[in-house]
Amino acid sequence: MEATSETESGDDWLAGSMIEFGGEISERVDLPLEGIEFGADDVNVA
Amino acid sequence: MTPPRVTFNDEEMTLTLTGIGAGWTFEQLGELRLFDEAQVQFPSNWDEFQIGVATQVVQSNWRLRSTTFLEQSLQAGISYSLADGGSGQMSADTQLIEHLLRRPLISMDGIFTIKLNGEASAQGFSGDFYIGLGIRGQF
Repeated sequence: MEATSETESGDDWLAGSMIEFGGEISERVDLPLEGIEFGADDVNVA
Repeated sequence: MTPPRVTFNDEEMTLTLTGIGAGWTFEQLGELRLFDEAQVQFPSNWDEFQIGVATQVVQSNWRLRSTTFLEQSLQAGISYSLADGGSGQMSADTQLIEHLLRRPLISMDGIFTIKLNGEASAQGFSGDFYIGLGIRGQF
């Protein structure tokens, strides 16, 4: 079935409907980290 | 003393989202604070520091990339159950995917399986980010 958001008659087939989908994605990332101190002395937090 | 770097080797964490509230759209899920909203299962051998680093990596990448993850998953195919009882599977064109992402939901559940493979240090995290998504939405 190839669907669009509405049927040809204009009915909203999605109202009351449930959809399920899923997938697997793997990608290379380079992300900055904020507020994390590497190689720091432990700090006691009151 | 916290370590100068942390290595991740494809350990798996699982985030389970249940009953995200009415009015949300799939497109807005990038704004979700995953670790506040989800039931999270971290690898049992991680310490608090590793958990803190992984949490930030996952939340940052989710905020940046969630719409792409959802679009790609929707492109792979959709199972549906209609209000009149009909059900099946379908492929969605770009227009429908856009509509599905922006239409308010009655509720949403999801299970995310996430693995990191790489190294985190003061320079940031560099490595592979894997996410497996399983999502159900009620309109």
